[in-house]
Amino acid sequence: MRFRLQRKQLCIPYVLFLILFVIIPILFIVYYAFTDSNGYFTFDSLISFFTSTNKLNVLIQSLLFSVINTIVCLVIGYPIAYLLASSKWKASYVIVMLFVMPMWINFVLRTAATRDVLTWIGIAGGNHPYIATFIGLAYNYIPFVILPLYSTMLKLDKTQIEAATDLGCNRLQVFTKSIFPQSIPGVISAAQMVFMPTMSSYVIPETLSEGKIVLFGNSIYIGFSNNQWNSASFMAIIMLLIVGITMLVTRNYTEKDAKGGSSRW
Amino acid sequence: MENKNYIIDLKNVSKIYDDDTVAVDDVSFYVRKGEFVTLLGPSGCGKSTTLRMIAGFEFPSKGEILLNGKNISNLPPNKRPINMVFQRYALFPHLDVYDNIAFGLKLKKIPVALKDKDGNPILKINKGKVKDIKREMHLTKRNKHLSNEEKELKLEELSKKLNEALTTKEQAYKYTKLSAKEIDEKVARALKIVDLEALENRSIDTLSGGQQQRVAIARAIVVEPEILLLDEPLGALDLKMRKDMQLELKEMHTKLGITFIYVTHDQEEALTMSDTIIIMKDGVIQQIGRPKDIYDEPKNAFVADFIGESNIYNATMMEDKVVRFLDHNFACIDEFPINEKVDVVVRPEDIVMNKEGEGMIQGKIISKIFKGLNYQYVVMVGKNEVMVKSTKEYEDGAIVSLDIEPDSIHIMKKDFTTNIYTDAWINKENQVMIDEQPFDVDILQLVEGGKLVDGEIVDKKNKKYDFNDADVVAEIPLDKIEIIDDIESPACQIVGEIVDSVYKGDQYLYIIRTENEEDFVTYSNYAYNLNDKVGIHVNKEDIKIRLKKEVSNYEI
Repeated sequence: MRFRLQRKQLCIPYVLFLILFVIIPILFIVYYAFTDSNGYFTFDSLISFFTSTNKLNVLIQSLLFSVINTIVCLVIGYPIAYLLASSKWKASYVIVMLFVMPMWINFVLRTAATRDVLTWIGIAGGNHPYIATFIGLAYNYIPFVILPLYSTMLKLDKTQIEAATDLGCNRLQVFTKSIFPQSIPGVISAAQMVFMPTMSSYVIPETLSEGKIVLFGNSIYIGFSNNQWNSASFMAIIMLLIVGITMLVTRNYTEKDAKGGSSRW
Repeated sequence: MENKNYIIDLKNVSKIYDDDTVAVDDVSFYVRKGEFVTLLGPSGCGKSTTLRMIAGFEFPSKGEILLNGKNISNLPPNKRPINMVFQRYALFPHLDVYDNIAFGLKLKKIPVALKDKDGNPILKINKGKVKDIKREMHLTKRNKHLSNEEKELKLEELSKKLNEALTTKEQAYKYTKLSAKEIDEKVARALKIVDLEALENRSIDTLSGGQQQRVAIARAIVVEPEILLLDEPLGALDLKMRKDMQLELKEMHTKLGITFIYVTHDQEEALTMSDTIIIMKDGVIQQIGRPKDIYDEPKNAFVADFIGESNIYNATMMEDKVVRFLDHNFACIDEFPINEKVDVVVRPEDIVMNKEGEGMIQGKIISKIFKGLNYQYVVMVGKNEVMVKSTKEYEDGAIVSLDIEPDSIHIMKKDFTTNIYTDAWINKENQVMIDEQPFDVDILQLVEGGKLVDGEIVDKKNKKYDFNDADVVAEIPLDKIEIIDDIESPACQIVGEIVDSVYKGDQYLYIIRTENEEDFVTYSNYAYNLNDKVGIHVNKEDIKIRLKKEVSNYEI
């Protein structure tokens, strides 16, 4: 019998890829999370995680950092995206590029440069770890807010703004009753692009706070580098769960507007 | 004061955009209360801009818009009792049908007169009015299209009004919102009017185009505007739906009793629905009238061509009430000076078709189309095509006779008799510059008995002339401009775009517009499409020029 390539067979490489690099690593993490150093099944990691105030504190601190950073990025990014999307600005493409361009520079290098700049203007991480970290986080994640918001707002129908004024809205009401509700899908996906990566961010807090702030990503890294594979794996699972939950919560909105899509770190 | 029956009154309104394009040019018309008025015209004729100025999305550069006698020219849309149905509906996708319709109601504020304990009205300075006047003053100062004198005059008038508003106290009002129950009732009533009762909880994207259309109408009428504006609302619907909606809109208009201003490019729609039609072209009103009047008595060839199907011919007045076209003298009822060149319009259904030899003119049928109610024939009479609609059936290719009754011949003043360019000038090479392009011309016509001696212009008294930079008026007859297809060809002197074409029986009348907005009007036997890029050639001897100043100014 001659072999005939069918559409079904085209997906074999992808399935192999997914099994090798997604499914098996996750299974490994689950395996390590629920075994001890001798390979026996145990709940030790779970118990030690939920009884360690230190680790719980890191989790709560990371959540707070994520929430604040998401809000800061949205507050800064939303007006920029709105201005860019309104046709009045002819240079908008250039400005989008200016915001996106730093992303082409190596991330670790960029963060080191940020640290140097901050030190130079007097906000050294050693003295002001929180401020430095927040500046660094916002700087890095604002492009991820602008892009999904920009693409949502480009699709907004200008005549709807006219329709809203026609029906009696003043300028503020046009925004609160028409523009903002319609840009919510963009806001949600922008928030997703910022919230979860902030939690697991490792390089930024490490570099900019000079090791003074430990976020969830940092503590997972510390665990692995200290050969505590079991507890670190369990934290990784917690991380995965949080990501899953946020995805579930925001699914309804993003279905309508599957946008954004850039690499995450 | 103004006539109270005019709900809206436009007075010499112009709209000039920042790049100096004139969208609406000195338009004046009024609309009576409860009337159904249609603004009709081809795309880009300024009808939508006019509507948008009435709605308040654009502000007029010049002129005034009066609503019930009050100037609303610079009032923002949310302060006008006017609502609009948008071309693409512009429904809010994040709200369902109910909330879309209730949108305006939730914002609506009902004024309640304030009274003190004894029931006497409380008087206060009207702050809203002061704010509006200040806003208007600000806009007037920034308006680039008014001359300084006009500005000063207007500002003076406004500051008078401001003083008055600041010193006189008026009845004060407080504003209340509608209750949820009132909103419910009003939405239900609106849904009933547009026949969408069962759909109030559906989301917008699950509705068909026709249903969205109805929601858009309901959303606009539910706030009880004094005027409903409709910007080509049926454009996105299919033919059958459009016909149904036309009738329904008309019915709604009667039921609601409010004024409708409707914008369309579809002449049939306009004829079906309107009480009054306003035909526009290039930002200028061509004709205002009842549908029947416009159909029967078009003012010019453009209107005749745009409204309904028509045969348009070049004709000449032979005698009193006798006009010659199609190589035949016809009796007519319009009076024009003898020998004047005119345009004649004959509607296809007004031509009577008979067997060969039983009518005024003979022709051969070259096409026959069955149209349901009647046949549509094209009859070749000499070199002219005549479109005829008749219920009688004749064979394709048959020779027939045609009769035209005097009252079916509508005669119009000719739009153009010659091209005149008032800002032409002469360049160094003794060419005439029209639209900044050189045209070879017989320069000697400027001087009596002139001739060229050693490249210099000399008259019979041996006086020499230098016409470099001389301002002249150039004239080119309509039939002397040649259209050249190949714009690269050396014969092509200027390139333009065809912006208008009217078929006149045996040839087309084209308006070719150059980049600098100069128009060349010409006849041609060949068919070109609108927006075609074509070249123009004019023979040297066909350009007539005359100096603006005395010829003695150019003596050397």
